[in-house]
Amino acid sequence: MASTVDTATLPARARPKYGSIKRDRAWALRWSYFFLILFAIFFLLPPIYMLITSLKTSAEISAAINPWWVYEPTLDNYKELLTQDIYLRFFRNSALVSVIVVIITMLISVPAAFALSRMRFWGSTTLATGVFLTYLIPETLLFIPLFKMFATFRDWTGIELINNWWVLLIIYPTLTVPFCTWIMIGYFASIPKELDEAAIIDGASWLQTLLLVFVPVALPGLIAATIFAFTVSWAQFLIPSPSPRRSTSSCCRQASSRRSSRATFSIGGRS
Amino acid sequence: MAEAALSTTRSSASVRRTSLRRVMQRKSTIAFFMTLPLILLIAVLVLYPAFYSLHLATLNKSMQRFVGLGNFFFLFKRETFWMVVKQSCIFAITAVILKALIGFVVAHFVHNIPAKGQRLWRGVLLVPWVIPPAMSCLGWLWLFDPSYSAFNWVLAKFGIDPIPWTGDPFWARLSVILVNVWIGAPFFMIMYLAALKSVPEQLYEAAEIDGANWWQKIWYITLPMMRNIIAITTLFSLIVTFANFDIVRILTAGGPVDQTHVFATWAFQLGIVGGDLPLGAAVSLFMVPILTIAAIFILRDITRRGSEV
Repeated sequence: MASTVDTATLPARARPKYGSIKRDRAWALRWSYFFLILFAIFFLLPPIYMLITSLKTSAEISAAINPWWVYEPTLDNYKELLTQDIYLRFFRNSALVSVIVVIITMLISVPAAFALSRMRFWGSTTLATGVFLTYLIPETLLFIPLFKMFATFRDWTGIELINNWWVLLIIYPTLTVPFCTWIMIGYFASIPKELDEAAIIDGASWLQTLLLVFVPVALPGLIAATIFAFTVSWAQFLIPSPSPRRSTSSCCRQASSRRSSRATFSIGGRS
Repeated sequence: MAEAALSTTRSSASVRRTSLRRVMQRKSTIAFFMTLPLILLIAVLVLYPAFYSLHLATLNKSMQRFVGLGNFFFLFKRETFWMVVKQSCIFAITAVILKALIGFVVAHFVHNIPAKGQRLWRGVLLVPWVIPPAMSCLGWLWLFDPSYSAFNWVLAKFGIDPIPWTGDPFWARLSVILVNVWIGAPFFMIMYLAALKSVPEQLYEAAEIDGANWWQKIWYITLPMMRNIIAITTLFSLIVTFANFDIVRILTAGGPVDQTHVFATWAFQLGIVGGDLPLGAAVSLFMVPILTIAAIFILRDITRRGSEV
């Protein structure tokens, strides 16, 4: 037994400079796992800490004991949160806004992407590039003029936009539509031309070609774009920020406004 | 003669009547109507505000008088402004480099392990990117909290003095960069992983036979093959990081003593919180030059790739 091990390792040891590829790979694998675990700890630390803290009582949070362990686990924070009207309203705001924004985004970007990728017309390539460029304009550049624009709009028409939740339905699409259009153009461009040619020959209108051929074929891309639009509007923090009145706030905003008081520390923990 | 003229006018009238319908059925018209909502949205809610902020930046605080470049000159004289310029550049460049490095290294490790386990690891490592930044920033804030910091508790176990994570300018800048890297690195990881998968395995085998070590393999094969994707992700990330708002706003709100403000948070502070919209607009306009440079590079890359295809 021992001798077989020796003979197996001996040649490798005799010429250590070259080693055997197989053994190198085994070591590389071990190191990979080691570092992956390290990085996973780094990446998962805050979420885990949030979860831990959300299970604590307020007294335990402010006690000088190991913050990485829950001594008296409790679900009271969740109970309190879920029975609170205001939290449920914020949650509903977030969900409602995100869903409607996704629908608006899809209604605008899918036909546009179809037209830009398949129906060449005057200025279509310029427009496609322009769409991409608008994605590069950050929201942080636009919020001040938008804020002022809505204030002016109110002065003209008397319609208050700034502190209403549905103003988000107007603003969020500016963040989602350019990117979604851009990736949908990519997906539509990858669909073979023979498909829509066949549909047109069979007498389908452009709209039918889009709805009956392109949408089903590009469904994975559509879903990806939908998820993107949803996460963007779900995670938005800046745009709901300026509004002092609470009904506009979404979950993220609410959690941050609670950060100052230590007692509610754990309540904001999950959303 | 007259009859001929009459018939031509009649036919031209009928042509005109049907021409509207024909125009409506033309491909380009339909296409135009399909893109109309998109054009309107971009024109009204992106392009107009962008130019409007240029106009805003030339007004005085009450927005009644035109002051030309007065706001800009006022900014140039303020020390905080130059601090913000410096901090924005330090923040964006350091964060992007670190994100790219960590993303590259982690992508390699994930690529190394057997394909069966990769899905799980990819999922685990993508967590920071999936959580809304505003939420995860709160988690970090609690980890950094001056009196209950969980990090400091661990450090105390090793006998290290507590670190003022968000209280001291140096550490506050570091913390902001750390959180940004934490949130952004998974995106790089996923992009680089996709790029790594597209590098043909034969190249490595050939290099191995020629006696190349791991460093040479990375330097002469992996990096050149991934050059495009590295350039694009870095530029994109540079834009997003440069215009970052949530992380700084939640973690430090610009403090201590405005030391961690970047353009977006300072513009917010001056414009919305301080009520001086023109000045805020002027500050946010300083993001434009670097964004333009990045956009030009990205565009050039896209057109080049377009012509290659």
